[in-house]
Amino acid sequence: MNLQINIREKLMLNIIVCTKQVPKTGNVKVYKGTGTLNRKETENIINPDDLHALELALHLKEKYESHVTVLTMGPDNAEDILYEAYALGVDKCVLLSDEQFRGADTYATSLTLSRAIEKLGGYDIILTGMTAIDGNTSHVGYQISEFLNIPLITQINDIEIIEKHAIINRLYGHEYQKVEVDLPILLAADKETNHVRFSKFSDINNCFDKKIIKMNMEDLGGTEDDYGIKGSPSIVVKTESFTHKRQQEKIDGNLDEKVEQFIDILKKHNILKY
Amino acid sequence: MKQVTDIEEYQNIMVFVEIRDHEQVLEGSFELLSKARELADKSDQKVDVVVLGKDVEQYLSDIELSNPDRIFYCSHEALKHYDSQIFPDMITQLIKEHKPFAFLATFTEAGKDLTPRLAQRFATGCTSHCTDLDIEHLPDYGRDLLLMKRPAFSGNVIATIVSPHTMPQMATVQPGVFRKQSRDRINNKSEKPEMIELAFDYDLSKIRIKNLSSPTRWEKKHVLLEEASLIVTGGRGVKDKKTFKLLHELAGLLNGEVGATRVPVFKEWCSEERMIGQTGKSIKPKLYISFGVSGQIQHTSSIVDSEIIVSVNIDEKALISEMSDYVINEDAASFIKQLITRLKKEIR
Repeated sequence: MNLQINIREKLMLNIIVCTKQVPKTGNVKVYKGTGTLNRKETENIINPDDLHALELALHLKEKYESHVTVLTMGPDNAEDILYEAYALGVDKCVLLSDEQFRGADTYATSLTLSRAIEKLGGYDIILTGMTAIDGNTSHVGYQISEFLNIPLITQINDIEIIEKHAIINRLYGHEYQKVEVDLPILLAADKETNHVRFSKFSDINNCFDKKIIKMNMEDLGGTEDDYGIKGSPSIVVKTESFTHKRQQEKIDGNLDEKVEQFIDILKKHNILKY
Repeated sequence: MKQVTDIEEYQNIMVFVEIRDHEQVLEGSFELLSKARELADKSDQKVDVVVLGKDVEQYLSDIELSNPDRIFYCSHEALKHYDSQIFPDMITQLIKEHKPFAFLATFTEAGKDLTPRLAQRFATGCTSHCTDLDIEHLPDYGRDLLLMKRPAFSGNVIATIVSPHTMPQMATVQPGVFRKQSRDRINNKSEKPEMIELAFDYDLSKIRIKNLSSPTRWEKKHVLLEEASLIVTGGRGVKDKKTFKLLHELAGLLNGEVGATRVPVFKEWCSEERMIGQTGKSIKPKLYISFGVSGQIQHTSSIVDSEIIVSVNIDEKALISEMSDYVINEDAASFIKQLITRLKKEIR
C-alpha cells in the first residue's frame, strides 16, 4: 500500500505556466499625434503563444498526474486572464503584482518570474509561450532558463515523461530530433505545438469562485533595485512616431477604371511592357 | 540598474557570425558585419568576429571580405550545429576576456537563443529585432552608447533603447534589415584581419539534452522574399483562404512572390515563411503591393525600403495609405479578381 503511494507521489508532475496579458493587436487604439497605445480602449487577451503553453500543460495533466499552476505578472486587471486559465481547467493561479514591478524590461521580468517560480516550491516542467505579440522579443523563456539553470526546449512535436526525464521529438535547425532530457525542464510553445481547447461551460461558470493567489515584492524577497524599471538594464531614451509618408496618389473611378490605371502604373515602372 | 564598475574598459564591436545549415555563412551575418564596420569606424573601435562551426576554416576567407579587425574562430565536430550550452558558454568566456562594448547577432534560431542567454549572464540589456543601430555620445550618461531602434512595444512608434550602465550592449537584427557592403565600399584598408583560433576544450559530458537517434533532415520551404523584386502581400482584408490563394496566381502573372501579414499566417491561409514584419522577414523590392493590409507598425517597419508601395484597401483611413505611393480605395478581393482577369489579357 505504502509503496503504491510513493510511486504515485513520484509521478506527480508540478507544472508551472508563465503567461502574459497583452493588448489585442490588430485592434489597437492609438492616440493620434503621439502614436502611443490607448490602453483604456484596447482589449486585453492572453498572449496567443501562452494559450498553446496552457494547452500543453493541460495535455500533460490528462496524461500524467499533474498539478498545474499559472503565473502572470501584471496590474490587478491581469486577473482576467487568470480566471480564463481557471476556466480551461488549471489548478492554481498566481498574480505577481506590485508597484515596484512596473516598467520591467525582459531581464527584470525574467528575474521576477524566476524568483516566483522558486518561491512556489518544487517544479518539474515550466512552460512559456515562445514570444509575446506586444513586445516580440522572445527573450523571457531563454532568460528564465538561465536564471533557473534548466534546459529549454522549443518546437516540440511530442513529449513523453518517463519517471524523472522526458523524451521529446523536436525540430532543431533543419533537423527533426528525438532527445532525452532530465527534469526539470522549460518548454516554449507556439501555434505549431497544438490546437487550443475551448472551455467547458461548467468551468466558465465556476472559474470566478476560484481564488487567485497574489504575490508582491515582499513575498519574493530582494530589494526594489532588483525589480521593475530600477532592475532593468534597458532604457527607452526616445520615441518617435513612425512616419514614412509618401505621395499618396489616389487612384479613383469604378473598379474597372482603377484596375486600368493600375495597369498603367505597372507599365510606367517597367513591370509590364507596353 | 547598478553600473558595471569597469565600464570604461569595454571596447570594440563583437559580431556573432552564423554558419547556415553548416553549408555557408548566413547572408544576414555579412549585412550585420557591414553595419558593425560602419559603427566601428565612426567610433574608432575594432570589429571582432566570433564564428564557431565544423571545418570553419573554409568560411574565413569569405568573412575577411567584410573587413573585420579580428576573427575568433573554433572548429570542432561538436560545433556543427548551434548548441544552447556550448555556444553561450564559449562566447561567455570570450566576452569575459575581451570585454566588447557591443555584441551583435542576427535574429535567427541560433541568435535568438544565444543573445538573451548572454545578456542574462552579464545582467545587461538586449534589444531584439532592431531596425537600426547607431553609436552616439549621450551627454546624460557621459559616454558613447549603442543606440538600438525598434518598433515600440505597442502603438505606431519607434523607440530608441540604450543600456547605459551595463556592458556589453547587446542587439539582434533580422536578416534583410541592413545592406551588405562590398569590400572597397566599406573602407579602403587592405590589411588582413588577425586570426585567433580558440581551443575546444568543452566537457561534452555536461550536455543536458541528449540525442537518442540520428536526426532526420527537415526540408525547409524556402521563400526568398528578401530577394524578390516584386511582392504582393495579403492582410486581414483579403478575408478568406480562397481569395488569398489568388495572390499566388497574381504573383505568377507579375513574376513576383507572395507575402503576408500576421493574420493570414495565424489563420493558416499561408505558411509562416511568407510573413513580412517584425516576427517575419524584412523586404526591399522594387514594387510592393498590399491587399487588405491595415498597416500596423510590426508590418510596415519591414517594408519601408520598398521602392514603390501600392496599397489596396477598402478602408480609406488605413494606416498603410499614408506611406503608399499609390492608394487604391477598393475591396481587396474584388480588385485581385479583376486585376487577374485584366492581366491575363495583357500578357496573352
